[in-house]
Amino acid sequence: MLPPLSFLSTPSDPLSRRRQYHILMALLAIGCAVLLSLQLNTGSLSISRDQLAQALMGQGEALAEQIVWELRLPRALLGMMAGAALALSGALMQGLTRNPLADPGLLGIGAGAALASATLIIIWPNLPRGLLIPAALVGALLVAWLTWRLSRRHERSMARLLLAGLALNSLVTALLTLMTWRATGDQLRWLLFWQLGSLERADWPLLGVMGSILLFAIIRLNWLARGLDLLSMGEASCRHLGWPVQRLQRETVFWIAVLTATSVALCGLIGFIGLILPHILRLIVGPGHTRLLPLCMIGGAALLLLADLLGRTLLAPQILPPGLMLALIGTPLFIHLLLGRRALPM
Amino acid sequence: MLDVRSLSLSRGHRIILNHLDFQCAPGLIGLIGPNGAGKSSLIEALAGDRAESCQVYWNQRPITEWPALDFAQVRACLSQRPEASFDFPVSDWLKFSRTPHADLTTESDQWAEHPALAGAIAALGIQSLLERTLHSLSGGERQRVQLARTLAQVWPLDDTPRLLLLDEPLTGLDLSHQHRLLRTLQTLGQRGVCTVVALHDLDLAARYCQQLLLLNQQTLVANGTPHQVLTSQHLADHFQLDAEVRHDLTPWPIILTR
Repeated sequence: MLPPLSFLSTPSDPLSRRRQYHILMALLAIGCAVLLSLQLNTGSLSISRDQLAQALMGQGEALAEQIVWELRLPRALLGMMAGAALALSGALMQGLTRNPLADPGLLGIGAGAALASATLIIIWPNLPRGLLIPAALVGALLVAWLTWRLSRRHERSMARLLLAGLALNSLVTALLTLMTWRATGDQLRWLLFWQLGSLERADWPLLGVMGSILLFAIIRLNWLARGLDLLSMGEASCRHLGWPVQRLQRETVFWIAVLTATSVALCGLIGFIGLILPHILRLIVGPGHTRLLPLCMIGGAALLLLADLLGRTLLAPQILPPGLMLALIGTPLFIHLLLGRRALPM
Repeated sequence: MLDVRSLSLSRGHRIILNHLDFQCAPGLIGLIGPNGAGKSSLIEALAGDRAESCQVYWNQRPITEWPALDFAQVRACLSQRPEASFDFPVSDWLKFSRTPHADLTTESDQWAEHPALAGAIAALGIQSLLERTLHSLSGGERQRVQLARTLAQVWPLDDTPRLLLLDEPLTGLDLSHQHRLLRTLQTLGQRGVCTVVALHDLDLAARYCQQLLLLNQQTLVANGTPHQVLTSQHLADHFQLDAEVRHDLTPWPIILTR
């Protein structure tokens, strides 16, 4: 039985809520740093703390430096960035649809990105990996655009958006499965990579691209957060407060697609974070997006690092996919939080 | 102030409102009519939500030509079924109302002392609800919070004329809060706020409104004071109501149904 998580309950007064937000932010940042150092220490070759510090400063043994700089650090950074991107896109999707059960994966955006990448790699096996991000982006944006168009065909409604997304998701997933069925050899390995999700294919140039995308997203975060807060009153009320609703919706869809597509291109389909983490954090700090979005980024980074660390160590030398580990860690915690509350912040 | 010039609304091929012309000065203006008469559509058009809103003028300027943020500082609107998707604290919900004015952030500690919020909170009597969250409130309490949020957006802090649009705001309110709200709206009228309110309770409309607009079958069938609009003939023709209207008992007309 899990211990009661009383410190996670949402306090009612603004001062306590602000204090709780800062405490949680600090805890998650410390957690990230600890998990990062554990990630760098963990692997088939044991590297001591001193060796690690020397390798990071470029003064260590050649083998240790190679392992740290070419394998472990890129993998850890990819985990952090992909976790942050997935959690942020999930929170944005839930804010946009005003539905705490929405998720970019549920709406087919992740599968669209995976399908576009997989198709390209099957047609062009020696494809430069840098092209995977634009390909995934095209797939994600195409599915996002189709979902959006279908949901606005007659009278706009969020139920219609979710249903259109679910239908498209089924179609895209079926196409991806069809490709798996027809694939052979290397193609099958790539397709499994996208379907299971993995942090093994990290490299520095692509990390630079992902880092830049996250940086631009962070610059827009405050505007998006304030807009999504107002959007929870409904489109008309948000517009009555002078906020450009259509621009907000378009820009939010754009960021959801970009963040999802980038993480899918670099580490395949990793579910669960985008759906569950914003939900859990909303239970703790309340629904205000100015707090929720930054917390989701840092929480997503920590959670994917933790999932990858456990996946690499629990059944070592076998490596379990981070998506599987996420479901195993998150579901009990989520159920525990749900059972502990009478009202949900929906 | 509010000037509607030949406003027509349609949805697909269906005409909702046909060539409406009327003006409203600051004060409480009641919008009455049977179900489906087009009251909510008219409120939407007055708020600037429809393409046809270019036929609506506020201070001699079509409302579609107002910059969105400038218009949001002088116009607030509460729809018939206001949304509250996430369980925000009531305090945050109220602070959102000042977004167009940029004079309050969600992090402000002294927010309850802001004159607009303090005025709206006192007017709706929601002091005891400020520490609660939206989904923990009863239907009537939530409606009062939504009303306070709407009022705070255009609460008069200077002489600027303001427009307040409320679609059936009395839904869910008990009798004392209904009277309290309408008295507040009357007071705001004296301070330059033009409030157009869709009402179903004709007795309350008769008592508190200075001008009534009677809609039926896509047209404005009557426009004037409660004494001019609330007549036995109008009630029979447009509400299928057999009633006697007494104009001599109180300063406002009294409807006696038979």
